[in-house]
Amino acid sequence: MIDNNYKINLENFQGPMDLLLYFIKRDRIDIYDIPISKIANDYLEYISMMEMLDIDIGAEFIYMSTVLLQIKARMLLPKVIGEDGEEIEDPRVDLVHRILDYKRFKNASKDLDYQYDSHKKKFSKGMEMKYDPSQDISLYVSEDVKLFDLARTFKNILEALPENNELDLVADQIRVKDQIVYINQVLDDKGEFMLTSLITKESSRIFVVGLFLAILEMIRDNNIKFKQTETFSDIHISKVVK
Amino acid sequence: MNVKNIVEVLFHSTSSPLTQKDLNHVLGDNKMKLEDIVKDINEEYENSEKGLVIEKISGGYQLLSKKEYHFYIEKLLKETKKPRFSSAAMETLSIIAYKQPVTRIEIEHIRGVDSSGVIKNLLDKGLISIKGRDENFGRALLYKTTSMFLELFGLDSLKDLPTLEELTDLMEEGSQSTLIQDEN
Repeated sequence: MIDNNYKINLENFQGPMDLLLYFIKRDRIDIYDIPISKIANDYLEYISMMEMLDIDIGAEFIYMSTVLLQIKARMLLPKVIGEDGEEIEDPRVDLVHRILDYKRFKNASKDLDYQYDSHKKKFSKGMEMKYDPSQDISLYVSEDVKLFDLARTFKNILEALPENNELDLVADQIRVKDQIVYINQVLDDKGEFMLTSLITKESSRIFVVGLFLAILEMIRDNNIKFKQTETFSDIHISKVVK
Repeated sequence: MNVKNIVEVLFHSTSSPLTQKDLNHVLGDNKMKLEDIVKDINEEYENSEKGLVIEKISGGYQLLSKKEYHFYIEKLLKETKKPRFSSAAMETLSIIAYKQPVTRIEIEHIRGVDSSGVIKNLLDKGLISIKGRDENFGRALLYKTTSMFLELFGLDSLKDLPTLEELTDLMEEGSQSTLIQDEN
């Protein structure tokens, strides 16, 4: 089995607000009329997926799932009319405000990113002494990692594997380290590859999960980058040229 | 001696933005405006198609290479590439930039996620600093952006940032125009 202690805590995992916003954008949901039942289901599906892959999702994600379920429950109750005949506030109001607030700053951070990009190619005297990129690793994360899409693709691959795959029964020790070595070999050989080319019907679940964790780790360390032409499609993986 | 030349050598000798105050200090009794001198020098650079330009940054002026030349600089000084920011860092930085002074709790409420690590990183890199303590809410630390933030992002002051309302309008223009079309 994969080491039980092996947990990934991805810094580029932007948290529950980001995940909610992602659903809203993906399904073009009207932010003022969120179909809470659908969103809660999608949300919980992702959480269980992350748990399945043994990714440390953090308490914030669990907290948000309870918030969503609570709102869902309150939506099911008959509408309460207040004494003055006015409807009591929609249970979604707080959440909507939080999402809108988050969205505002998400926009601001995109703009700031743009501002930074347009300025970063201009150098002042002695710039190299002030900014030492070797000190910089913790700030560095590879470009625009659409982790959710990646995880979703892996989930589809796992689901497509035949059940009770014989090889699952083999008490094979597949370590993430070994999978990284394997990916590096393929990359040295070909320079790039499509994800599904590494997986066959005979691949064991452990092999696939190990591959996923290895890819996550390599993305985090900025050794590889991935591209996806459309959501849930095959993933193109290539080396990062440093 | 020609003041323009003096300003030029001052730029040559320092990497920090040069201010009117610096110039007054250097020249003693000075009535020349740095702004005018910079305009002069920039015109001269422009006319002779130099690779340099002076920009208004962080409350002063800074001599910068034009971006078309970054390739050569990066080739000479292999490690000159400026830092890159994760989206977590960029998100946190923009919240601090717009809401400063701001506490960690407020940042985390907006982001919905623990931000202590990112804040520590930004502090270490000198992009933010501690402004003091919030006297109302448990004396939590208050964060603000630094002049290094302005320098790194090429901003003269925080007023150069578009307002959040402007940004929302800007980023949502596309979807709004479809709304209007629907009504027609």
